[in-house]
Parts: sequence; C-alpha cells; structure tokens
Amino acid sequence: MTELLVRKISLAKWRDDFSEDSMEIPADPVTSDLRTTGNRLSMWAVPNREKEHLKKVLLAMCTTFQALDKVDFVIIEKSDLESAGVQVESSSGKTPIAELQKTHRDAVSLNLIRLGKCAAIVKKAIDSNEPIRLPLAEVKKIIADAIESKQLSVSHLHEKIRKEFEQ
Amino acid sequence: MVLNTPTRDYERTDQSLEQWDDSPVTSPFLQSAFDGILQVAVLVESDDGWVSGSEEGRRRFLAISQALILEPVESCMRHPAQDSVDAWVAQGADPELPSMIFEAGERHDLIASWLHVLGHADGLGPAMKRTLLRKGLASPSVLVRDAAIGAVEQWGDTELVEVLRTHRDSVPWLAKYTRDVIRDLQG
Repeated sequence: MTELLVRKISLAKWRDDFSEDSMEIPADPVTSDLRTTGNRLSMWAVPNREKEHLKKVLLAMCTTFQALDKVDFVIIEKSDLESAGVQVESSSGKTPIAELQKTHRDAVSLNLIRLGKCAAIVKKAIDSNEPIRLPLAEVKKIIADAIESKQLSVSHLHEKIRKEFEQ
Repeated sequence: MVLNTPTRDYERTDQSLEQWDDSPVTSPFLQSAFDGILQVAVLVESDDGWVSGSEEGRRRFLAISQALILEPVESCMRHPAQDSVDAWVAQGADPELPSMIFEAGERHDLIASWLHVLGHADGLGPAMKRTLLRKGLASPSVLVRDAAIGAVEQWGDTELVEVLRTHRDSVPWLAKYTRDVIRDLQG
C-alpha cells in the first residue's frame, strides 16, 4: 500500500471561482499553498486517513504557527507523485516531537513542470475526496491535549500563541 | 454597487501613485500585484464618492490593502499587516471600513484577506462584526464566505450565531463548517 502524504492547504483557495468539476488549476493556491523552499515541498507521511494521524501532523506543524486558525489538509498518494516523475525523500522534520520527526517527507528537485504536476495531483485529491478541515476549536484542543499529556511544551510554541495555552 | 475596473487613469491619482508609473514591473506576479494595488488605490482616492470613510480611514485602508495584496494571508501565520490592523481597531476603526472593504474593487482575495486579519483583531464593535459577516456571507465567492465564517470563529462571538443560523450555504463543506462553528460557539 502506498504511503500517504499530508500537506496543509487553504481549501477555499482551490475552490473559489472554479467549478468543482473543472480540472483547471487556479494560480493563487499554487503560489501560496505549494510554496517551495530550495525547490522542495514539505509534507508529512501518514499510514492512513484516520483522524488520529492528522492530529499528529497538526502537532508536528504547530510549533511553526504564529497564529491559531482552522486548518485544512489535503492527502495525496506518494505513488501518484512518483508516477508523475516527482521524487520524494525522507528528511528530518522540524518538530520537537521526536516520534514525528521521521515522518517528514520532501518532494525534491521541483521545477515549474514538476510543481505543476504536484498541483494537478493536489487538485485531483481535493476534488475527489471529502474536504479535511479542523475547525479552530479542534485545533486548540489538539494542541492543549498534547501539552497536557506532555507531548508538547508551551515553550515550543511561537510566542504569539503561547498565552492561549498557558495555565 | 457595481464598479467598473478602473484603467490606469493617473489623472485621478495623487503624487504617491504617479511614482508607480516609473516602476519596472516585469514579472506576472508583480504585474498582478501592481494592477490590484492600483485598482484599489484609484477607487479609494477618487473624489466621486465611490468609497466612503474619512481621509485618514481611506489612507489606512489603502496602506493595509497594499500589504494584503503583496503578501497574501496564510492560515496559522501572522500577517505583516496585522499590527497595523490591530492598532487601527484599537483606536476605533473607521465605521465605513466594511463599505471600503466590500466596495473597493471586486477582488475576492483581498476581501477575504481583510476578513482574515479583522478576524484576528480584538476590539471590533458588534455592529461592525455583524455587518462584515452579513456582507461576507452574501458574497458569491467561496473564499469570502469562508473567511467571513472564519472571522466569527476567531471572534468567538455568540451573538453572531443567529446570523450564521440563517445562512444556507450551497457548498456542502462550507455548510458543514458553518454548522461546526455554530456548535463550537455554543460550547
């Protein structure tokens, strides 16, 4: 079974002003949600679509959050990327949660063509699956629970959101 | 109000806008940003009453709009313009701000960005929140409706639940989000 890869997106940007049946890919979400660094696109691997795994992805990412918001995810199949000629590598995730560091993946050596293929795969995944959204209250609860269970420390969080979780 | 997309009619702009005329705009992204800023600027700075509000309000609106166009908002990231928005709200935002947001051009991304940063601002009055929500929910844009509901979620204002309850969104996932926010606000 192929590995699944999760990326945080903004669902509405992929759906606005475009028919849900359309294969047309708007440019705005590509330049914002698929922003690359060093020609790499960061993602997190999960074994299946169960919500527990998405919560872990949220925890892995939340130390980079400067503000608390609802969070949208897209799940794509690693094999779809590889079939499109996009290479995926394991890399150490920048998260204080040790068990999640090894679940980080990068789509590497991206150029305009390969990024376009990534965008098409993301668009197809969004259009053909139930949207995945964690409302703000749920995002706060997942982080608060992780702090309470000592998986995460408040000190790991960005100073702008720290006070929300300080007792 | 339906606004025509303005052309680069520099006669209606002030000196600060004329400097753009000499700016090299080479990439499609910069061209798009340039056009967006110019569109808002022309509308805001025109004297024909298209956009209401005080002169100071229009000046602040333009400056923040420029920042929102040049750097789109991203969920879970603090936008560089957030401090300016917070300061304006803390000082008492122009009561015409909702009109400025929804009347200055037809850029859904800009309207949604405004709703996002205002959602993160403390101290907006109940009347303005309600107006922003009603106008946002009435938008044909998924992006704007999503941002309007998101703003209510940020404000955590239970007074607005009744407005959300009357909203029937045609997009299933947005309808579900509306129900989720109502549920969360009611605890």
